[in-house]
Amino acid sequence: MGDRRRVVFLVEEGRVKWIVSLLREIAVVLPSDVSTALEDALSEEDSEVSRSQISAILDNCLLAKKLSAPMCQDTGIHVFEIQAGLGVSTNEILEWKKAIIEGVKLATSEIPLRPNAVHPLTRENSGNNVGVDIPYIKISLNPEIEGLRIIASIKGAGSENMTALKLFSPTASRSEIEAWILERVIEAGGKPCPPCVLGLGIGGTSPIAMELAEKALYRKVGKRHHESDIASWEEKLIELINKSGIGPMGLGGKTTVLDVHVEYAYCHTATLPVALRFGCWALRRAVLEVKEDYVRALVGDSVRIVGVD
Amino acid sequence: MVKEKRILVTPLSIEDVKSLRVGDVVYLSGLIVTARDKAHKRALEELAKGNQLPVNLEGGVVFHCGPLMKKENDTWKVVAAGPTTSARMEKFEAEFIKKVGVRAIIGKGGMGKNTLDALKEHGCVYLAITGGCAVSASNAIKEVKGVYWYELGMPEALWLFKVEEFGPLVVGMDSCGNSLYEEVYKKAKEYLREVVAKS
Repeated sequence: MGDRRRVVFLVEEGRVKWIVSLLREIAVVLPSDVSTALEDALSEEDSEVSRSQISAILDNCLLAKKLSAPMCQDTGIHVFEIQAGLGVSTNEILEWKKAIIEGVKLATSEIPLRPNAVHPLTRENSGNNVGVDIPYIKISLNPEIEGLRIIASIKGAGSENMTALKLFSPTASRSEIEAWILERVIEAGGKPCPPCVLGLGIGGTSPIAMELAEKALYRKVGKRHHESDIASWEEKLIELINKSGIGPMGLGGKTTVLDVHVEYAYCHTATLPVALRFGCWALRRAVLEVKEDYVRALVGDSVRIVGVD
Repeated sequence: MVKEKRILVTPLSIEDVKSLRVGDVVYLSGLIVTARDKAHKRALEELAKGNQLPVNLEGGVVFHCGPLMKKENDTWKVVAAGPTTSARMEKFEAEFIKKVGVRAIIGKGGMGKNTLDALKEHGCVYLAITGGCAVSASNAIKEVKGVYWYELGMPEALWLFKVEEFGPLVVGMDSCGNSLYEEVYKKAKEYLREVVAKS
């Protein structure tokens, strides 16, 4: 009996440790798709001011990795998605859900992460990044995977506060939508910490559009939408926005966005919701892949942290 | 050719401030104090009551930053200390500059017209530090000299830091009424008008 209890303890502790590792990874290491895009941007920029900003970002990220310290002091609030493949038990999903909450608490004191989670009205800080519905954990099914994928992201408030939603007239043209996006980016200026990645969600209902915009931020930087029409619109938007000259940190330059990702859903014939989300240069997200039953995988190499795809 | 670093040393003189123009890239050595929303509000309240601030900020430098700190053996260590969005402090800053006598504000994203006017009137400058670059910033912080108003919460407290070659800092708003943000914004708005006209 004693032995059995010990095994259960180890399994639970193992899950929590993986969550802490995942949180450490996203707080400390800038994903390679983002750093590559920043390096490309540096070679494009030609003014002292804009080059100083991108160089400062890249230097900062090298130092963060070397010192194993969070790259940005705003370590965000934590949003997770547990994607379950076929055959994963509900119990297993719920165990991971518990581990995420414990992992956030432990990571907050261990890494450490800034305690950012507060009550929305009293503004009282819980002190450990855990509160009502935070960390936010979405659970979804993904029949294409084996085991589980846990996608974690942290997002600072500077970019979060620039989020926009507009219910367009259903007869609005693409160029009207383009002008609105451009205006939002210009009004945001340096506040969302450009160079940004923009997530654009079109269609559905208002909450669906917002969710699509969030999903768009998880797509790998440089990867185009699978439909050619949307893909070429993404390219057009990147060019259109970068010609604004807002530049790194809003101090002027050629790179305002590193990428624009569009996701869409069908919507009501009388509506056209458009949601826009800004990801700051520190676009922090990663995936914990748990390839097989976690209890068996505990000592193996079937648990690993990978980038988004 | 590598350009030589221009390093400012605190306390800053009016001459230091007046020599700076938008687009200059500089570094800073000396003392800086963090202040965000709550600290600005509290400072103005204390001064209105006739109280002194816990730190003398004459010729000083304010850093819009909510640092992540860790206490090790009773000593505070900086874990991460990058800038926060300065625009939130706009409603306090002009009065803060006037009453407190700071000579430089470090932050990100720039500030508005009231602050720009106050910079000109009282001889102060806005320096942009790259947003999110918390590790580089904390690496330049050599010592935590003190913490005040900790009851406001870790990010909102006043932290007094000794820094060396803190930067790069871009002069975003100078003491002559120029704002790099405003210049960039005006050009971008002009571009937007062209785009809308064409569509």
